[in-house]
Amino acid sequence: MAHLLKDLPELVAQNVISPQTATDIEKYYATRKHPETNTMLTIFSAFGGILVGLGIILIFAHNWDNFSKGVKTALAIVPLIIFQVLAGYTIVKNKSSMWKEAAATLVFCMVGASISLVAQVYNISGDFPAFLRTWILLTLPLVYLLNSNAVTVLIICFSTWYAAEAGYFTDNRPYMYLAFMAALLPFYFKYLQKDANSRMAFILNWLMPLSALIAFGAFLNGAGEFGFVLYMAFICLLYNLGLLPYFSSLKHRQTGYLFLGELGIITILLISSFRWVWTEITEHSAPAAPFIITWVVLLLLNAALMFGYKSTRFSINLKWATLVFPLLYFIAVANIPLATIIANLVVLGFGVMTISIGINKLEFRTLNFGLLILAVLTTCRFFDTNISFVIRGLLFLVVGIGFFVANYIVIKKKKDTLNTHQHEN
Amino acid sequence: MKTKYIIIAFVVTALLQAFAPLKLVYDSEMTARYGTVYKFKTQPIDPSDPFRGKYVSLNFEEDHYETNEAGWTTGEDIYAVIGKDSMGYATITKVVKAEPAPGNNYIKVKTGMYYDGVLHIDLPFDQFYMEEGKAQEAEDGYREYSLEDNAKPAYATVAVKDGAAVVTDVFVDGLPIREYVLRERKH
Repeated sequence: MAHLLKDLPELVAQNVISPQTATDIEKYYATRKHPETNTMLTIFSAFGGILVGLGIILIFAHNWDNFSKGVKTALAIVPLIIFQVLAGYTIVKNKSSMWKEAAATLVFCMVGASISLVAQVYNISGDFPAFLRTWILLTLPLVYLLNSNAVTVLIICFSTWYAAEAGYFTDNRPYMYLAFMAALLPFYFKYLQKDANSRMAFILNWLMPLSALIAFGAFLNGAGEFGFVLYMAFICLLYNLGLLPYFSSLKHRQTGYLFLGELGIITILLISSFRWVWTEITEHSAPAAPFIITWVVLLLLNAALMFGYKSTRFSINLKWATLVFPLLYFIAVANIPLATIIANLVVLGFGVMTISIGINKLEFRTLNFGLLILAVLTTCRFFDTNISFVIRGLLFLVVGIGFFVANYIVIKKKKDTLNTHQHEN
Repeated sequence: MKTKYIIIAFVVTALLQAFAPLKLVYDSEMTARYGTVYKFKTQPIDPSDPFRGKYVSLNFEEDHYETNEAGWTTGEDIYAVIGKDSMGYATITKVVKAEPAPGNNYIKVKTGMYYDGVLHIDLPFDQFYMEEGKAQEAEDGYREYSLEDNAKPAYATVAVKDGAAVVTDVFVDGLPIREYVLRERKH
C-alpha cells in the first residue's frame, strides 16, 4: 500500500492516472487506515488476554501446600469473578472492541482455570472431553455478548479438540460439536454478508472447514473402511461449498473450502488408485444403516449445491469428483480391478487436462500442478510390485521428460505472444 | 440487541460460569464429609497436567473385575460395588450396569477393555495433586521405599457417597504423602 502511495506522483506525471484519481486513491487509503490499526490493537489485546489468563493458570497450578482448601478454592474462583466484572463493565460502558476482546478472552481462560483448579483442590480426575464441553458451553455466549472474534476462534479450536478427544478411539460420538458449530453460524454468516473481505472472515473461512474436516472423522467410529467413502463425499461437500456465490468475490486461496477440498479430492483420488484400498473397502460386510444414511444425505447435499447454484468458475474445476467417487465405489463393489483402473485413468485424465489448460493459458502454476499430479501418480505405481521395473522406469522417464518439454513449450509460447504484442504495437 | 438485554444475558452467563466450579466444590465437599472412606492400594507415579499442575498418578491394584458376563463396550458408564478385604483394603465385589440404591458403597466408573474374562475398570480418581516439586520427590521416595523388605502397601483414602468418589489423601509408610516427603527431606 505504502509502495503504491509513493508511486502516485510518478503515475500522475507519466499521465497513467489523472490527478483526481490520485487524490481519490489517497483518500481511500486514509479512510481505510484507521480500522486496520484498530484490528491490530484488538488482536494484541486478545493475545494479551490469553497470555494473562495462561499466566494465572500456571501460577495457581503450583498448588501451595501452606494454603488451606478454602483459600485455594477462593483463589480458583475470585479471578473469574474479577474478570467477569471487568467484562460486565465493558458492556455497560460500551467500551471499544479492544476492551471487549481482552475481557472476553480473560473470562474464557478463567472459566477453564477455575474448573481445573477446583478439580486440583479436590483431586478430581474427571473426564477430559466433559471438561472441555462444559468450558465451551459456559463461554459460548461471550461470542455474542461481547462480540468477540478471539473467543470465536478459541471456541472453534476447543470444539475441534473436544470432538477429537470425545470421538476418536472411543465408541462415543461428539454430537455437542455440531451444536457448538451451529451456535457459531449466525456470527459467521454475519461476517460473510457484511465483511467478506475482512481478516476475520478470512480466518473463519479457513478455520470452519479445517475444523469440520478434523471433526468429521470423530463421528465415523464403527464405519470401518466405509469411512473413506464417507470422507470422499464430505470433502466434495467442502469443495462445493467453496464454489458458492458467497465466496465468489474472494480469491481462490482465501477460502479453506476450496483449498482443502481440492487438496482432499486429489489426495483421495490418488489413494483410490491403489487396488488394496478398494479391496479393504469392499471386503467387509455392508456398512451399518446410519452410515449409509449419512452418505446419502451428503450426496444429496452435494447434488443440491451443484445443481442449485451457479458456481464460480475456475480454470481447474473438480466438481465432477462428486459424481466420480460414488461411481467408483459402486464399480468396486462389483469389480475391484475395474474400479482401480478407472481411478487411475481419472487421475491421469485430470493431470493431462490440467497440463493442457496450463499450456493453453500459459500458466506455469497450473501446468506444474498437473505435472506434479502425474509425478505422484507414477510414484504411487512405483509401489505396485506387479508392474515390471521396465514399465515403471519408462513411466518415470515419460513424466520427467514431460516436465521439461511442457515447461519449455509454455516459456516459448509466452515469448512468442510477447513478441507478437510488441510487433503489433 | 438492546444493551439492557445484553446485560441481563451476560449476568445469567456469568452466574452460570461461577456456578460450575462452585457446584464442583459443593459436590466434592459433600462426598468428602459424609462419604464412607475406603483404602485403595496403589502405586504412585508422577506426571503433570498443563492446566492443573503436578500430580501423583495413582495406579490402583483393584482396577479390574473377573466376570464371564460378556457384552461390555469400552467407555460405558457402570457401577462398581465396593467392599473391604480382611486387611481392610477396598475390593470390587461386583459390577452392575444399573445404578444401585443410594448408599456409600458404590462408585460410578467407566469400563475399560474386556479381555479373557477380565473387565478392566477406569476408576474416576487416579490423580492426587501436590505442590510442584513435591510430586517428583514423592515418586522417587516411594520407589526407594517400595524396594525395602518390610514395605507396607501405599494406599489412597477415598471418600465414597452415592456413586461419587473423592481422593482425600495418599499414604506411604503409614504417613500422608506430604508428610512422608517432608520426613524424607530431613533424612
